[in-house]
Amino acid sequence: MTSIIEQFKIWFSNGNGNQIAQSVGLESEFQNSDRASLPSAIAKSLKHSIRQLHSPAPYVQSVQSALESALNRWRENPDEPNCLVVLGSPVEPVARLLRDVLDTEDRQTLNMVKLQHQWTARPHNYHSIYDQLVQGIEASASGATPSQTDGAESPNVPSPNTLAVIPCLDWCFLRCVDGLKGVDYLRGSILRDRSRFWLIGCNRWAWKYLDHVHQISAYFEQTLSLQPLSSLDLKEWMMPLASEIELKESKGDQQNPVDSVTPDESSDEFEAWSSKDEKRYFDSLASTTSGLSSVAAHLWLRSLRLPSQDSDESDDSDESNSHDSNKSDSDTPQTDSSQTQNGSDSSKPVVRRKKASLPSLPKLTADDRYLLFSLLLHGGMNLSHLSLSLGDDDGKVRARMQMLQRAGVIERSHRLLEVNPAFYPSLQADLSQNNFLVGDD
Amino acid sequence: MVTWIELSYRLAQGNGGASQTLENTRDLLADITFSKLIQAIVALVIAYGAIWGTDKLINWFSERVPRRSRLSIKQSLPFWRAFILIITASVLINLFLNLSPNNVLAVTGTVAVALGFAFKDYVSSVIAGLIALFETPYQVGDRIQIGDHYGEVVGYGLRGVRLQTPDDNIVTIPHNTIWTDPISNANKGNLEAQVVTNFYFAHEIEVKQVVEILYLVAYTSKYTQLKLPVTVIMEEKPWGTQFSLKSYPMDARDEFVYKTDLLRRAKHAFGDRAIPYPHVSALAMAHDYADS
Repeated sequence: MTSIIEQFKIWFSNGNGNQIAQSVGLESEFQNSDRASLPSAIAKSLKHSIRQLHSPAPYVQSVQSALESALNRWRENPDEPNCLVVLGSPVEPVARLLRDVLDTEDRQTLNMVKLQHQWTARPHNYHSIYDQLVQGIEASASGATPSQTDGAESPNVPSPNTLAVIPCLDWCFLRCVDGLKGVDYLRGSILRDRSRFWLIGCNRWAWKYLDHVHQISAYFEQTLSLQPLSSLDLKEWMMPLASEIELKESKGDQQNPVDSVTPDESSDEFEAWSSKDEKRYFDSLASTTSGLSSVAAHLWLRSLRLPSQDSDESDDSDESNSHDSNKSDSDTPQTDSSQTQNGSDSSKPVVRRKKASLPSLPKLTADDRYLLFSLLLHGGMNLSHLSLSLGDDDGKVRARMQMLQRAGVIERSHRLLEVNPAFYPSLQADLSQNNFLVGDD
Repeated sequence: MVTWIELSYRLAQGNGGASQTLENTRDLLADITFSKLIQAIVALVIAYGAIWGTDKLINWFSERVPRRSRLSIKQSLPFWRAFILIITASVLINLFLNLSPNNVLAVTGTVAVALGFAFKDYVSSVIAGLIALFETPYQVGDRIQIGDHYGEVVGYGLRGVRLQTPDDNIVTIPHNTIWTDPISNANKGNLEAQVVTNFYFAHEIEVKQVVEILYLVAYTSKYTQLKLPVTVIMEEKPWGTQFSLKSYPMDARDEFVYKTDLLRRAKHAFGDRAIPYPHVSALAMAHDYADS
């Protein structure tokens, strides 16, 4: 029922300015003010920790398994496809996932040629994408330079053990007249050069776009689409984050330990949960985020509150009084005497979590939608690339970008503009309803 | 309605052998009282308000929902108007006429003659409007061309259709033009409408390069609907070669800004590659157009 209401809100708030959007805006403001209750230092630190998280184990395992079987098939029969494309949502760090996969022990036996070895983003001069790809592929074909290869041995001649990796195909193109040459070249090179296996990471929106422009899926038939994570997967993946905070359980948690579940519910599945509320929280998180790890992590962060400012606090007047008396600075992580008495680590911030919910989109204009679509299509880009892909002036794009950044929909990360993952599900629904070519998650 | 009856009465008087019809007409009229007049005025005011309110509500609502739902909401407008008008007409007929099968049969011919003389064009437009509701040569939200007028259908009235032209003028065209004039509909109820952008080059250009650039220009425009086909058509002229790029914007409303975007970026790409334009005088081109 709740999801139907959410869907209706998304659908109805899609249009241009209106009263509903204003009410949604008010709700958003309310949520933002609520979120401010988590001190910025803690939020920043947790955000940093989110970025440091290792890729979720189910993602790693699925890529490993698909790569293993695709490689074996190709080794046995060279006519089999020599390429595996890993597709993920635009907000999922697919490049990071491939790095984590290739860092595992069994991959060390392969000679890896990383074609985007020195790339941390799309090259600033987008004309050089093509040149760099040509240079990288030709160099690795004739004899790779040490900086471009990893592994036990450096190949002079490509062999069936050579794995060429393009962690982020999104970086190989820019939506402008001269920005698609790189992908065109890659497509031809991979088809021609069957002496090595190619592992490519790409976001689904870019893949769909390139499929319409270059019919890329006709050439690269072997794709692996990352599957949604379950609630348990999310919990296990976010375990390191949980260890950085002191989660103050609500009364409900204390009254509903997992031992108190009904006989029907007492199964292996329940052993993984410390309480019914925890299970309920992660079930809701998985369903709200469609099992996307980045979205889940950002919604988890948004769901954290300081106990003293939490409305639940009224349930526990004694604790509330204790916190109020100790409260000194809203930017200082809350610690209280009860924690020390319980033997917990007083350096950890004490927080409570509310049910994770998607933030409402601000009022979007047609220009905002074109801008956000471009960002999701390219998986993050700098301002000049964004202007080029939109075919608009820098000044006009900057003005819209500033407004979206203030609303929290866009974030800056290492000088790159990215869509805040927390807004991704709403944005995907909005753009789809507005006739954009969005990827399917 | 009373006016129509009076008119038919006069017409009947002029026609020497129509005394029976006159009697039937008198039977048809109910007693007209002050209370009935008030009720009729109230019904008309309510109908006017309801039509005005429905117009405003549907236009307001359709501009606030996602693009995909915009046209279907707008297209319901004529049906709501027709519904309100039918209800109002029923109320008025019930107030002022004694309808029985005999009365209706007797008066039909008289009324038809009266309307034929006095409101021929108006009735023709109303009937054409009703037929257009079902034949749908145009609907609200469509981009159509009737005669010299091109624009988006923003209103569908009882008598005519209102077009908003690219210059932001409102042109009202009576529905009965569908009897005689061709109607060109660019999107036919869909959100996308094909845009044809013409480019002209000298004969000596490398065709493959130009076609490739034109495809890229369309594929890389932020407005292009990639789900629909992009095609390039060539035509040879005495003074050069004409290339027509046919593609669809995601929203037909962006038609002109889309065309501008395609032209701007294509000219930039052609300029970078120094692709020559035809060397031809304006007079020669005008002559060619006149011939075609």
